[in-house]
Amino acid sequence: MDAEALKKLYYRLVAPDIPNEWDVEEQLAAYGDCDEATCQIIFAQIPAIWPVSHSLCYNYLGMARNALSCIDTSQLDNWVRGVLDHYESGGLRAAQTYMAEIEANFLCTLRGEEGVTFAETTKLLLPYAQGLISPDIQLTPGPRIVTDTETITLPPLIREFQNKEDNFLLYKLIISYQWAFSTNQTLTTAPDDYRGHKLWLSKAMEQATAPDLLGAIYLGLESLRATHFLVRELPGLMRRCHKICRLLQVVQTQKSDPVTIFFHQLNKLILEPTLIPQDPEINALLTTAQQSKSAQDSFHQATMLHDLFAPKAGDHSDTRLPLYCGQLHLTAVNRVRQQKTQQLENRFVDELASFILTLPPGEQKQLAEHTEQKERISDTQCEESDTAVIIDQPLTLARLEDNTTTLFINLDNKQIPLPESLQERASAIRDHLGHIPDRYLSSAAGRAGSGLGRVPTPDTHDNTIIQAPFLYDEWDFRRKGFRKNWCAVIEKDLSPTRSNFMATTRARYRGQISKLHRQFEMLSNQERFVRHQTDGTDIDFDSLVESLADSRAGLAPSDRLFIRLQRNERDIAVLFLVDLSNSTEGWVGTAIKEALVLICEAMETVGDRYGIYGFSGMRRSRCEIFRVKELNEKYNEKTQGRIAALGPREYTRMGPAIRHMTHLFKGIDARLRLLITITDGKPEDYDDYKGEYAIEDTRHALIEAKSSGIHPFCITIDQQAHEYMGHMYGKGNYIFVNQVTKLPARMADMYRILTS
Amino acid sequence: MNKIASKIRLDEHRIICEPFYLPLGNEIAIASAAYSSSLPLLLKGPTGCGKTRFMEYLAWKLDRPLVTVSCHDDLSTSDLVGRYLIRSGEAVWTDGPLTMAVRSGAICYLDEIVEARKDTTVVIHPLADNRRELPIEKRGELLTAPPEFMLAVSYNPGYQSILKDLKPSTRQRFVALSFDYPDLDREAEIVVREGGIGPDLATSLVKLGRMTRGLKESGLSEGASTRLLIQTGKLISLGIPVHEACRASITEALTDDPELLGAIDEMVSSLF
Repeated sequence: MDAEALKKLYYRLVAPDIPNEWDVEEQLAAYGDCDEATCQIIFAQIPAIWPVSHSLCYNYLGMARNALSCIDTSQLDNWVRGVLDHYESGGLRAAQTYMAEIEANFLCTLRGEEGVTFAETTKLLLPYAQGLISPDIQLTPGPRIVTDTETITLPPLIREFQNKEDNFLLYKLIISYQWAFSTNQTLTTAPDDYRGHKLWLSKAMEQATAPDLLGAIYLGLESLRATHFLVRELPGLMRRCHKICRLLQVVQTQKSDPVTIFFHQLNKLILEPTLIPQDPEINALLTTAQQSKSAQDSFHQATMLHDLFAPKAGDHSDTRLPLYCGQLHLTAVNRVRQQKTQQLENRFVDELASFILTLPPGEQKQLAEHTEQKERISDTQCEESDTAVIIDQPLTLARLEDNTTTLFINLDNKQIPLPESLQERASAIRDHLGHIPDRYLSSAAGRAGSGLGRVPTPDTHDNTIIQAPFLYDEWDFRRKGFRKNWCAVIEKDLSPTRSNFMATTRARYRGQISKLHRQFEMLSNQERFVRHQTDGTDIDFDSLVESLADSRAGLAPSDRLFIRLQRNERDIAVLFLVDLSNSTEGWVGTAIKEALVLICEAMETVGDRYGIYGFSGMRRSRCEIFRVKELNEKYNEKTQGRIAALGPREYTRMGPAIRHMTHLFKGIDARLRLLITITDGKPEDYDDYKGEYAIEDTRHALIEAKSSGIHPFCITIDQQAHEYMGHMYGKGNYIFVNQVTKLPARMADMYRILTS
Repeated sequence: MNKIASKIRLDEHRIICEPFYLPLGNEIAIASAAYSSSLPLLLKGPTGCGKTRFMEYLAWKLDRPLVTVSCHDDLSTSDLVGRYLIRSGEAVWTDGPLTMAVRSGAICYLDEIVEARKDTTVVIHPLADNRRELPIEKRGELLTAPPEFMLAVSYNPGYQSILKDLKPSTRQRFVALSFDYPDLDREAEIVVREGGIGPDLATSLVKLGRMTRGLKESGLSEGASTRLLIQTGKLISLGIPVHEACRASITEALTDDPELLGAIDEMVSSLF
């Protein structure tokens, strides 16, 4: 194809953008000798890539010809989808790497020699880890297998074995080892009398001449202990892993330094714990190591081995362990520990201060004096003091083997026991630190003295956390796939305004409202007795008398002698989603607001649960949802004020708003779940979210909603609605109101028809 | 006639053999004290943790018949108190299970009380306070419960929606006992005894149960109960292979979600 034709084609595909001519020419130079059919195939992908990233598009053009030399043209679609997925999860660099290594990243998968990725297994691995380790544990992909005790970092891809199942098994094995480490306290071990704030292990490692070597030996010995633990606790897993462990068997190393040889033997033992090392010396060392009963034992052994090997260790000693044992990352563990300590301290001190404030004033004063006195004493470095202290005392009612302790504030031989909630917090601190630092009492007394105590409320600390945006995928019809985590939806509170809007609306629609009340009251009759039934909860005495009379009269008596409570339970939950785009300014917006007032009046009569949300925003990074009325919130002055406060804002990115409503519906148990959208036009945003793309995304969001059991419905006042509404919502799932003034009446009517 | 019929019916509710119950705390003493003080009992706890078995044991210990009513949302007052039925052209009154228990001093156990409609549960109010009376409106009768009568209700605070909570006026009439799953050793002992399997297998089953209970955050409304573990044990003891027994009576019983099914399967394959 000649350069001019190529350029023309290119500009047509990226329209309305007009990229720099030099850049385009530079990219297209490589296609001068390319035949037209190939060009067309390669260029056909540009509309999918260009809107995502221009640089990526240029990179694609640079690599596509090369890619077509090893993949078939029919596979180009799939390959581009892979490229875009990588771009969205790891940025341009990840996409470039993906494109460059076409053999490893794409063809291997096609041939079935695929590894297992973190993304595809996490749905299974996360509940497995949460069931095994703790409900709070999280998994994340990363370059090294490490943990900070709250999150486990796993490789993004495992392709150690040809077989997919074996690769998955390795993921599972890694998590199981982390469980063993967590249960065996490998990372959190400390002697009973340790009182420091820093992680004991970090502190102990620092003292070694070769901390890395000590760390590797310690982890090796603990892995050995973990192996024995897992053989005992998860025999099924270890039996199945036997095969992959054999495949992971370390190759005999050429290096002959003692550290490498030791680690080689240690690895073999971890992979196959029943083996007996050939080298008698190492066998002796490892036999002792295998007998360690606790992490402290292992550390003691590791220190001895470290002292033995440190002088012999060379720069190139191989201290690697089997992949699934992971690595130590004590800095991260320490950081999490410090955070947790701080959190526990804050909560405990806060609650203790509040408790002190509830004590009689005399005791409060005494406590404050004692605290001051103690501070003075500690200032003068005096150790002895018999002032207020928190003391641990054995629980006298507890069983003998139970070592639970209970806390008192010891004040001049008077013991004030702490309430149960504080005891629980204290026991959490004891589990974490091993003791309750004395200064907690003095800081609590200090806080109480300055009136800083507060009545504890659950999760007060969490209130300060700024709410994270909800991330939703967006459907890109051009690539027939999702853009992952593409839109950030933020829920915002709408502050109510005081105005006469409610009063004037009510006055204007007085007749309409009373009609609505009557109509909706009839709907709300949930239970009524029906007579003359063949079975029921009670006898219908009228029917019985009639039947007996009939019988006496020689007629066939009726068998309909019962009365039954007919339950007409509506059990409907409905969310109204209101378009707050700029175009609703003026009388359209007012009509929508008036319609909301009318529907609220109707809903209050019928008693269905309903929520109202507005949506607007600009670009994918700021899709805003405004809470007008939450589902279980009452319709009161506040919510009325919020309706009055509704006003035109920015754009109409409808897909993420619908997805958010679907998300909100997930926690709602109702027989009928209805999502009613009120809009005045097509979905549209500032960026490329317009036209077919926007309609297709909205349509897809609605399909997702339907598949979660939600009935979407739309009320629109857009004149062109018939062109696209049927496609988006499906025929019969929307109404078009041609006169805005009729919207309030039509909306309530429509709702009645929909739900009766 | 009515009394004889009700005695015959009540005898069916008498528990002859001692049911196996492993106490977890002081619950038997508390319940016995409540019985002797004519106080009603509220048992709460997750499903399958032994609430019903506890009631059976208590009834056996106190030597009283146990009338159990499983509550549901169509349970009416007539279902509990009684109703007129037509027999040979005549309207004959028939006692409901609650009236039957009150008349003869049995223990009436309303299982999953929150499932019943709120207007139904109100009927137990005068019975659950110091009046200990049951009004039978249709007959214009007011029954006073004998000292041997005991009312017990149970509910599971875990899974029902906010709409299904016990009204404060109802719950504040009861002595409440909270039940939970036993610790590992004791739960294993129960599974050995009831499921008829060896201690090692029972311990592994209990470990599996505890793992599934950790899945609450991942979307499982309830983990495997002791009852499910016992059922699995029974299947295994009858020769069903362990994996299949776990799949049939734990995994599939807990969830329909494909990911959770997969995760529980992985736990099973790790443990056995």
